[in-house]
Amino acid sequence: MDAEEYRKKIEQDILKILEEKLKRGEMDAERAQAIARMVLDKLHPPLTLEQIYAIAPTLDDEFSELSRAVLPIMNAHDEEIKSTVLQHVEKLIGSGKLDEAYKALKEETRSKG
Amino acid sequence: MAEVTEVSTPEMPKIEIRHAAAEKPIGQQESAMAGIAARQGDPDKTLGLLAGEKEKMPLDVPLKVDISPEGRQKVDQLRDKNRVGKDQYGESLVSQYHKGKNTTSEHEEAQALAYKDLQKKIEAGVVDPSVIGTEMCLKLGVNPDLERVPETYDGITERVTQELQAFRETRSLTEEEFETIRGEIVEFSSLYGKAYGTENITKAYEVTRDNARKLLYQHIIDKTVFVGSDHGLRHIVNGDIRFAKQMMSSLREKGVVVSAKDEVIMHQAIIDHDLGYTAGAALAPMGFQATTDHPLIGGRFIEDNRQYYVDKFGENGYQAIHGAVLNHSYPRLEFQSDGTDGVHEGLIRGAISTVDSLGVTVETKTPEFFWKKDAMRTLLKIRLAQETMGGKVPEELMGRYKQELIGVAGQEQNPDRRSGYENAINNFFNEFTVNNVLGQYTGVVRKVEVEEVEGAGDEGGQEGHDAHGHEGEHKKFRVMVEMTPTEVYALLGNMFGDKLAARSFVKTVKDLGLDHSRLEEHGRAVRGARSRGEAKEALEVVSDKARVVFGSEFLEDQAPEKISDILDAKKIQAISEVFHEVEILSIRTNINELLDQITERGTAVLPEIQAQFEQFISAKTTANELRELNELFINLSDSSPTGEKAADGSDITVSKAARKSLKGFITQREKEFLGV
Repeated sequence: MDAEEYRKKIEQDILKILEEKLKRGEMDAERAQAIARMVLDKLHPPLTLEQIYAIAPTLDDEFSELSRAVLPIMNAHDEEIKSTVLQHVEKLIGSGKLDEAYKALKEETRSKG
Repeated sequence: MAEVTEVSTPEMPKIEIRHAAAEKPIGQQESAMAGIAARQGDPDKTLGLLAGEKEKMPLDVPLKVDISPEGRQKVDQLRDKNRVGKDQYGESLVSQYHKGKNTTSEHEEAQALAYKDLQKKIEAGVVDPSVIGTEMCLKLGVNPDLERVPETYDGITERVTQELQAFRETRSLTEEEFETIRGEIVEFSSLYGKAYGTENITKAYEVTRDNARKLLYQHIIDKTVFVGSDHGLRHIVNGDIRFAKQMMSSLREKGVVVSAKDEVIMHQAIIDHDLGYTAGAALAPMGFQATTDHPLIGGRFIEDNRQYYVDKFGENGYQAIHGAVLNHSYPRLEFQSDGTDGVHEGLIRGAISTVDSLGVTVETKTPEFFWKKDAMRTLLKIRLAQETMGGKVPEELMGRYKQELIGVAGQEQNPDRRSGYENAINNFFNEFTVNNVLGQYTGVVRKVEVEEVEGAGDEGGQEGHDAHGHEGEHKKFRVMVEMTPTEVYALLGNMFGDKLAARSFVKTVKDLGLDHSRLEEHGRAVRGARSRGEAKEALEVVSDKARVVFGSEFLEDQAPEKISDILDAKKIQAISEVFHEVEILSIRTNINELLDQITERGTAVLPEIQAQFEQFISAKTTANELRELNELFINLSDSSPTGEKAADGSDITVSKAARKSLKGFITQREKEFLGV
């Protein structure tokens, strides 16, 4: 999925949440309008994947209803980073650079907090 | 009644929202939901609408048409037989991918792969479905721009009819054809208004106008090729749309909710389903491989015009049309809906593929050209020559028959249509065309309905619709088809074998899971019963997918007013007369009956059969011919080997050789008829 497809996918996920909430009466039109405005402002194209990953965690800052759409993005991002680091570490171990591998793993663990 | 609005997006499943618009004024919340529902497909636009931005979408999204010099050049290239001809096009993708596939699911999977591979042919420059809109506008000489949009919804059909009228005046259309298209656009426009509202006149006008053009264009193009069956108005409107309407009524009677959107989308998909036949590669001489790929080409045309279809029918409407066109050759007999008034893709796919598979009989499939008595006489000459000359008509003789057909084409008053016929005869006509056309005379389809059968109807993924549950949702249906056989069918079976007579119906019968051998026998049984003054019962063949009832009375025996809703009684009578002429002069029927009797009763009764045979054919043969035939009869009981081997390695016996010689025996009267 390229960045633009991904951006639209997030918008669609958010729209789905809005529809459900509106349908169940758990959200009023004003809040839906505010969310739509915020999403359009923040996810304004063009965006790179890195930019999307940076913006995504802020989408539910004011609107907690959106955490259901934000969490999968964060998880996917984490998985991607983990996989990249592991590949890198494996490569380092394979070429005998154990110290560097240890350093990279430590860095990754620290960044996870 | 609660109003249901649908939202769908390309990657997301359909969302449906019920709101009581008719019961109370729409409040802010409903308005927000309606805002989401109003824009389908593009989430940016939906969010924009929700956020209160002004609508920035253009009023209409037109079909892709490029009549610039570059666009015209592209069309010329894609019509150039040296660029897109049969050698350049290569093997059909459908043929490649569907080998060995039997079930509908297998066919759908194969079709998806073939569809993907169409891209390679597009990149190779042998086909480009995106130019069909341009080809259509150039061929018809119409302006692709939206001009003179009517001011009222009711004015749409009037405006579209005005454009059609011009084609009527130049005789590109007969009065009957003009009325057929007009009738369809009146109905389409009304259905579109019911399904999508009458507020957006521009949009409704555009889609109705384009449909009139598509019908006209396909009809005109169809007259320039003979692929063995009609792909013009006869097939699209008089066949598929007529059957689909019958089927929709029947489904509704059985409690299935066929929504207004379903109904108009079915019309749209049927109008579009054979557009692939108009591609240049399919029109190139002997472009049969490309014609086989027509559902792929048609599907890609829809995809290339995705925005147009989404604009007119919503994302889910687009998906339904695309799927129905792409898979229309593979019947999926599932007709359930979830009871809402949204779009039911499976129901649409099921109904269209079913009715298209039934469009194989004379009233819906036989090209107009072959309704002429002289043309039919020539077809019978070719068939007789095939029968008596080892299957293939000698080139010189075929050339003479083609000249006869050119003579028939010369009677056509419209010069474009006349030259189209000439092109079709010179470049497309062969023994295959003859056998296909003759095979369409099985009968006519009188009625297509559904009936409930035992078992849950949830194969199509209908589970879990509690919120919208309704009467017809979990029922399982099979198709019920009522057919009337033609006498022509029986005569054809008598003269050239039942397999030829029922040829076009075999695929349908197989698709419906029925036993076609019984169908092959039925026509002859009806004819035999009639000649003996006995009543013959109707034949009913049944499977879990379908029940087909073949009437006990030939179409030709029915009162003209009883068949006028289906075809012109005079035309079928005229065709029947030609068949009678040939049967009277030819000994084919007598030889076939003789050989059938020997197969059934053995050679011990040969003297008895031979006596009967002589009595029947004495008026058709000379004394010498009778003597020669008698010698062959005697050999029918001789099972000693001739010393020659058949292709399968078995011995050719004297009896087998005599059978073959009898099949190929040609009398003086037959030679005169053939002109040899």
